[in-house]
Amino acid sequence: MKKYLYKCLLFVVIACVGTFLLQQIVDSGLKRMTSHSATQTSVAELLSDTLNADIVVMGNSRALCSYHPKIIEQTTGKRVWNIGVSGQPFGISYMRYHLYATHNKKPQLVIINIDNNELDMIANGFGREEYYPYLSDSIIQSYFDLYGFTWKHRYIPMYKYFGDYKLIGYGLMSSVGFFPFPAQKHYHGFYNDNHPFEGENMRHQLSNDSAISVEHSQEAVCLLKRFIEESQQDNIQLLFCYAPQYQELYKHLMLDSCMREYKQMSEMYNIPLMDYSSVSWANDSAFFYNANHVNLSGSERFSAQLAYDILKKVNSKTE
Amino acid sequence: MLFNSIEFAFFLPIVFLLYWFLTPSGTNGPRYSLFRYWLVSEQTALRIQNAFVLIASYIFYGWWDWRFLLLIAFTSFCSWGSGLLIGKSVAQSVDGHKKAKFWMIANIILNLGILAVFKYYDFFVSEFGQLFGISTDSLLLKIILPVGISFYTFQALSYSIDVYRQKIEPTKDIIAFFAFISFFPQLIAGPIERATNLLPQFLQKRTFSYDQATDGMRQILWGLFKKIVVADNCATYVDQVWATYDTQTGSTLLLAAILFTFQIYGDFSGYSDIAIGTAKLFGIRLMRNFNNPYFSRDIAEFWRRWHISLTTWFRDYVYIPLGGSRPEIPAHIQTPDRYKKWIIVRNTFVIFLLSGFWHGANWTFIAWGAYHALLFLPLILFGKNRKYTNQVAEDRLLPTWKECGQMLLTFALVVLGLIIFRAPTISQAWEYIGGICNYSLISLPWAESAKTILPIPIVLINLILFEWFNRQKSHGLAIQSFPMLLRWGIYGYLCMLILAFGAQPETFIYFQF
Repeated sequence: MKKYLYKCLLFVVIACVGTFLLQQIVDSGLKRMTSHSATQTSVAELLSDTLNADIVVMGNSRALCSYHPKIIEQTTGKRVWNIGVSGQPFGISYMRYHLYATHNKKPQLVIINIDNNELDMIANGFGREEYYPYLSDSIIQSYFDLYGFTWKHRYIPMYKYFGDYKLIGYGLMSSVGFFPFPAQKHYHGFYNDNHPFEGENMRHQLSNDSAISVEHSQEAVCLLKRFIEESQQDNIQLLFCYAPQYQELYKHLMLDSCMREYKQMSEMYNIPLMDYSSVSWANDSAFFYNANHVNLSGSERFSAQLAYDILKKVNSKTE
Repeated sequence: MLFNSIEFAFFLPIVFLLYWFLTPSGTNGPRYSLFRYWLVSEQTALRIQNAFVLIASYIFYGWWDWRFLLLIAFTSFCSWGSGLLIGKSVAQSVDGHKKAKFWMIANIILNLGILAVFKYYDFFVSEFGQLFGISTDSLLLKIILPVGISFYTFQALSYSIDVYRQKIEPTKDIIAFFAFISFFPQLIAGPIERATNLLPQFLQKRTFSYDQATDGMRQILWGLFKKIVVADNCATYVDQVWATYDTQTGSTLLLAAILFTFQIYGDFSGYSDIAIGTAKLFGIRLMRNFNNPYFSRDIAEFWRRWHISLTTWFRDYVYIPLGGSRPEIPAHIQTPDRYKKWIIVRNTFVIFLLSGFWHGANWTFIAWGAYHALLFLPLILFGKNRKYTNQVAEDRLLPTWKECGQMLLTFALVVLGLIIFRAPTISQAWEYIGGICNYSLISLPWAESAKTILPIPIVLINLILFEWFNRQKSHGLAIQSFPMLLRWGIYGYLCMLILAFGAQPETFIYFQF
């Protein structure tokens, strides 16, 4: 029995030490890949202390593809960074902002993208693996529930990478200096292209009642209010902005209750609300790659207009 | 509690240590027992150990749903009581045998009655309703099926039948009997143990064996590999294809059917390996449940190697009592050969249909049983059913071309049968088979992503190689004769495969049976 227990213990120790070391290697390898997400701001970039923008854009994929930092920078003369993230609700946007804010200087203005999907808390797990190397970060830990992380992900070595041979392989390759991910494509967190319009998604959405009846979560509303109060304490200006949406879809969305929440918050906290949902060119599919997302031409057009309006607002305040 | 869960990884070592350290000193195992200074007899110590097994088993089962513990306790108590009554009746000289038969039948009816209510009642009522066009919704019980009910019910039945047949003495030790019925490694999905094998092990002192325990650990590792890596990876693809089978190409459907064959094997034999390996840690030997079934050269050999504990159960308790393949021929029969063949055909169909129906209340399982009966029948009628009783290529490294062909043909037949088994309805099974048999068979199979399909060939090659080179041994990782460094290297390799290619944990398929 003694020999058996000794061997079992030896096996457990070797397994624990081995998996722990492997995790360290994979973690460090993945952390080195700052371009983990070639088309959006990666977690590594958020934590890199180098973004230091004057204007920060936050929100989901619509924020990501609509607000072109270069265009806004040209007009406002301010450094702009888009920390939008694809397919995620406000809880995740807030976490990303929180990560950004603890490692970078406080921005002067935060543009909060608003739309039919933002006031939600249910994360769909998309891009979840990007956070694996950073699970020891206290900010990420405070949002564990959103992504379904548990103590097992945090404390059991390699548990978070279980079955993800691709990510383990990338981490190992990166740790020896070979980066398998594509080169970074985004500019200050923004990436878009002039894709032609694809309407299949819209047809699917319009045929599905639950996709057009917009419901929002009170939890998300509370979190947004918390964010507003924290930002106002730090003297950060906020702006609610509804980016253009293809009218064929937009007119069918039942946005009333959702927009009421935004308007109430706008009045309560004195936050300007700029609604570009129905700009004149939102009827033209040439500016969209699908009904929810503008393409590069659309984003350039929208960003120019937004930058001009921001500047106008700033000037009117100073006058 | 699942074998492939973190909870079990904590549960097993705790139970293992308490189990061996609860016993008084003097065994081959621990010398530092909690009861070292207690003046207890060996018998009392054994009872303490059995009681501990019982508690651990009930915790293990109750982790899923504690309410059904009452059902196991009730089944155990009735079978234990009936055993005593049968034993007492047999001992009586006058009418003893009749009384014993009565108690045995009573216990069978009770156990099968419980099984019927939980597993088959809704099926029969709804089928009856459909047949006569009556709405039976209000009559349906719609209760959840207690996990492992088919397994422990059959184990309980084997006890009372064996006591009646005087193959085993009835036990008065209720704790040992309850532990025998609920022994946690095999409680939920077998192997279905015979009282003659397992119960005596609970009635005698167990001694710790280093070789047995290390072999148990190896078998657990092998079982985990089969379940987590082979079965769960195949399951991802198979489930995706079955969810959209009506839009898939023939090649995709064929690939999914083949992968399901590996999935169910990895799932069930993986569970059995973990169960047998775990039991070995406690000094208990369970019967072998799978013996490389996909290396079989004909269907008869396949059935000697697949779910052995169930097939031998039906053989011993149904097939042979019905006359088996050597039925008694009544004197008045004028064509004894024809009569004998008829009895063999009947008996073969009975056990295969029952075996199919045991898996669940669905026509697909019955059709699957009938399909195998049809494949088995020619072999038994022509006396070829015991042609292959040894391992394939027993004294060679590789099989001959003929053996390869035989194995592939048998495998193909099994794949076809498992389409019926996996399908929700028989008509869907037909559609699926029809979907394979068209021109789209000559095309590249579909895959949702490379990530889901890439690990499959790697893990299947590992499975086949390990099982082939260890086919003469008790399991795929029986490598005790290898040098230590190589052994540990193989453990590390398998752990890495589990870590890198392990799929999201799915429940075991046979839990539903």
